[in-house]
Amino acid sequence: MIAITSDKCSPVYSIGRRQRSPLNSALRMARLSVSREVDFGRVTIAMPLPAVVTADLRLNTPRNAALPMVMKARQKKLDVRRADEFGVDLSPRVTIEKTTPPPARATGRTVDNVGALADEIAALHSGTEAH
Amino acid sequence: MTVLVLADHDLGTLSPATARVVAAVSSLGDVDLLVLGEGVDQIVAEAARLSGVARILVGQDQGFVTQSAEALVPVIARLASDYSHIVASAGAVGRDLAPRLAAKLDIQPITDIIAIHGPGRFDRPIYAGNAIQTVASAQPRQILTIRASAFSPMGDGGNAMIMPLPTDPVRTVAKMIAAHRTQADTPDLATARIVVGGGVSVGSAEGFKLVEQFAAVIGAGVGATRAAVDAGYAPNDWQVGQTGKIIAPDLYIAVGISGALQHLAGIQGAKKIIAINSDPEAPLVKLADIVLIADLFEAIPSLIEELAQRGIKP
Ligand SMILES: Cc1cc2nc3c(=O)[nH]c(=O)nc-3n(C[C@H](O)[C@H](O)[C@H](O)COP(=O)(O)OP(=O)(O)OC[C@H]3O[C@@H](n4cnc5c(N)ncnc54)[C@H](O)[C@@H]3O)c2cc1C
Repeated sequence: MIAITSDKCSPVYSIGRRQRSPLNSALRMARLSVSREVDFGRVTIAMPLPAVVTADLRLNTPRNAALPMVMKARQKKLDVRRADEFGVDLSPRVTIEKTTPPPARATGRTVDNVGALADEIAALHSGTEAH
Repeated sequence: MTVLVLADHDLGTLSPATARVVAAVSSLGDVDLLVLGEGVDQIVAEAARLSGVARILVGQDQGFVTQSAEALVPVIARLASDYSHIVASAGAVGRDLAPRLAAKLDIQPITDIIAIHGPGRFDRPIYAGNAIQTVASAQPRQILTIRASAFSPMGDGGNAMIMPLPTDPVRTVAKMIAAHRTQADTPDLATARIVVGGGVSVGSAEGFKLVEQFAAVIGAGVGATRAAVDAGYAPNDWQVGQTGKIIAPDLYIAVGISGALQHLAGIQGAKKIIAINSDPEAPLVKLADIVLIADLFEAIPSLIEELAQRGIKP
């Protein structure tokens, strides 16, 4: 659906939200330069526009829309269409069989002092070495 | 059924995640491993030793070095018709390329799998790990990403056939212009058996060093909360949780960490959890197997000493 509507509206850039790949962006003329987090640290990537990017919470602080703009937005005509008008089949291909809580953890206990904790860690430490 | 697994690698060596992904999917059929990179001889040699791998397909090009989805996906898409399952680790590379590959092949991908029940039935966590969903797919082929830490690694003992892939020169419109690698000689967070995590309560980057010293004494990987990363006390790639790394060590030791849901999402696979916190009501204290209620600035230095007395070696 996004591909089709992007084609019809030719946006300069579409911004979606994804939680996993933080990204900071700076629009530079007709190119986009972004910084994103990867497994080993950070990378900076440059690309021509248009581009599809996702943003992380850390990107910036949200700017709240001013009331006059909110009122203006309300006046705009919404063009509501059915997906099948575009010849797109949106029926799910993956079905959810069940949703269950994760396995419960055993109840814990409190140790009295640092020495007792050191004993516990020493025991667990040799346990993790064993395999 | 034959399964294509994209090998995860970094700095010329095979990532530990790959052996876990191979183990996860070997029940589905013969496994072919795809290695895309440049100067990959050592990676291929390591991969060929993995048990359960039939063939290693090797594509070499300078354009693969950044492991961008744009460079990798065309090669994978071209191979797809020979495979029932196309699989990557749910790390940065797999998360990046699965959606692009899925769109190209018009297949709904199934991501972050923690258990495989059959060729089309999988478990995956949702709601930041607060629930596990069992999903079924009857698509002609599956695109999967696997949460490597949920599976044990495949052992050595294989002797896979190595097959070079003809590839056209790779051209991408997106260019990597800089990479910043966190320099640290701590064990890899994603696969470390013991991880010590530090929270924002350490108060400074200097204070976080205390957590790092403690980790070094027991040979642990170092993790951090988002609050500690945002405060600049720890690098972003140490962040554990919903928007950081998901870990499943034998032992996780949380130092001054409250245990927000988003942090817990990253540690639910830990076999044992120890919490050191001054607040007996902290959620992580309630969840932990072993708890010490103490001020970390007093507890950690004396813990380091006590462990040294017990002759602990990293
Ligand atoms: C969309 C979203 C995604 C997020 N993703 C993540 C994520 O991936 N990972 C993550 O970690 N967080 C994530 N967060 C943030 C998360 O909600 C918490 O804010 C964060 O985990 C808290 O970090 P903390 O435990 O260091 O700090 P706090 O919550 O402030 O806790 C500090 C703890 O230290 C204890 N303490 C204080 N002083 C001492 C002392 N001297 N000695 C011992 N203990 C002490 C306190 O009792 C408290 O329990 C996310 C938030 C959002 C909204």
